[in-house]
Amino acid sequence: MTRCAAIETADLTFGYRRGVTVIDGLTQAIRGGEVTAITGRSGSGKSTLLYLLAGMLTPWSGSVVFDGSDLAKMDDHARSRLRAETFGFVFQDAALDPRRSVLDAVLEPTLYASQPSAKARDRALALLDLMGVDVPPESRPGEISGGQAQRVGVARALLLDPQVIFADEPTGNLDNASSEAVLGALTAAAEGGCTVIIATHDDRVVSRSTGRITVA
Amino acid sequence: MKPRTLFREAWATAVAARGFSWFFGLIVLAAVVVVELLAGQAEAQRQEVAAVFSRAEYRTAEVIDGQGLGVIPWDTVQRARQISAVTSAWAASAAFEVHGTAIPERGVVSARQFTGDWKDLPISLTTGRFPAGPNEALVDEATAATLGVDPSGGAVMSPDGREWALVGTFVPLHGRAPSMVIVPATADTQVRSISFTVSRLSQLDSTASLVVSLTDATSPAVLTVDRSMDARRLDSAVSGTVAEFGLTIVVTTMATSAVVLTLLSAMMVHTRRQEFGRRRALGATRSDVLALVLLHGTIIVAIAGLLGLTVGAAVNWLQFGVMPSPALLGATLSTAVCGSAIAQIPAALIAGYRDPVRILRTP
Repeated sequence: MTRCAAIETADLTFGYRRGVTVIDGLTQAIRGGEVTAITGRSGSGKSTLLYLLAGMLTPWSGSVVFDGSDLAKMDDHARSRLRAETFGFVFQDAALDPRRSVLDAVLEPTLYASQPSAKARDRALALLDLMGVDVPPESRPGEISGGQAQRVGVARALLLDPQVIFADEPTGNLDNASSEAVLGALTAAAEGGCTVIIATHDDRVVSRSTGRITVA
Repeated sequence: MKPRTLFREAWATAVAARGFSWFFGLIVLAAVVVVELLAGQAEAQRQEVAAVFSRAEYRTAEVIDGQGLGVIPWDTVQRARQISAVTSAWAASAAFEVHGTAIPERGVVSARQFTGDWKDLPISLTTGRFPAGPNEALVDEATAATLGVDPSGGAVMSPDGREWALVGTFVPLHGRAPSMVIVPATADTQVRSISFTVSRLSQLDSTASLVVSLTDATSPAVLTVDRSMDARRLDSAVSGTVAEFGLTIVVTTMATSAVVLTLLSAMMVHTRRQEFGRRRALGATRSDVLALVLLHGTIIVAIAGLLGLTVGAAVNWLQFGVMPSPALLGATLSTAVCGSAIAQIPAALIAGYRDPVRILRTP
């Protein structure tokens, strides 16, 4: 069981180009152990906010506080450690290495968290089973469907029992069955104490989330 | 990432990215083979040059009392012979004229009196024997023909009426060997020169100085040291030119390979940018990504380099009969590994410092 981790932003401001603000003075508290949806129209900055909360972007001003620490004040190495050991990621397009096996993809977080992959192997296989990925673990991403690939991506995010899972449009390209599988797994993770933050424009995701941030 | 994990992941990546690994490896292999073959060829040429200049002709010098001061005692030749670098030594008088006694009108030729061990002389006896007394002489085959003398019974005579019976013919072994007519020295003969041969060309200058110091000359300037003056200089020049040429080709090959590897690495990083973005998002540090790129290439270079060295050594042995020195092999491999690592640094920095968010959001 993971512990509930809250994230707070204060006067968060960011843009990719000077003078063009994408997130402007956002102050928000994200409760731990909930599924929080970041919504907004296309190009409004949903993914940008997600990456700011994950410490992958450095805000122009304001703060992102996780577990009492301001991510903006951490150096790159410390933020990388945080992502490796505390956060999980689900990308929009699964982002699996086409040359590595499905099992390798699920085990990838162990590389950066300095955990032995041998121990995590059983859990990886169990997660693949739980996510309904019924293909041999040696299969390459090119041999599975997009829905299965996204489920593999979710399994990868869940592998190390992260405190927070960030998901960027996880159901964007999926059929209903795959969307349900992905959402079910993320919801179950939140019920287990994990904070799940999803950037989405999918109403199904919004309807199942307990928290919501709308970016203009 | 832990070093072991890093190495395993780099190896797994090298295996997974077979196309790039093969291409990268083949370039390194080709560069190492070319470098080694050039080095082998240069070494073979250097050995060939060294063999030429190690001939006795180039290892022989003559200390000459050109002014006829009589400052070279006869026993100098024995003392010179005791110098460890000297393999043979002989002393000679000034040249004087002789003519054949049978047909004097055939002309005159030069003769010199010699002392020292006859077997030390760089000549090959073709008929007869060495002189056993002061009135016997040897004549080289060409001179015998010129004079029309018969070594089995002929004789030569000096203008002052002194006569030497010819007891054998010889051929000089090289350009600095005695020629024409040679006769034994007598007690009243004034030594004009001492010739000596050393075991190595590099010993010639120092040995010449030693031999000069054995004479009664009050100043080394009164004696002349005659030798193949350019031999050593030419040897160094030729060896230097060969080495310079080889080095130029090697550096050019290495530099070209480095440029190709730099571009190839940059292409590799560009085609794998999504992978590096994903790795960074999942927690890889910049240094992890940087090390992964460098280690990936270094593993390939090390394997390809070792293979290249083996192939190069085998071809060198078969083609030139030369086995490159372990130092050269080690230097080639080290240079290849270090050079390729340096060549990959720009690509590794690009991979490590690219903004992962931009990469992940760019299709």
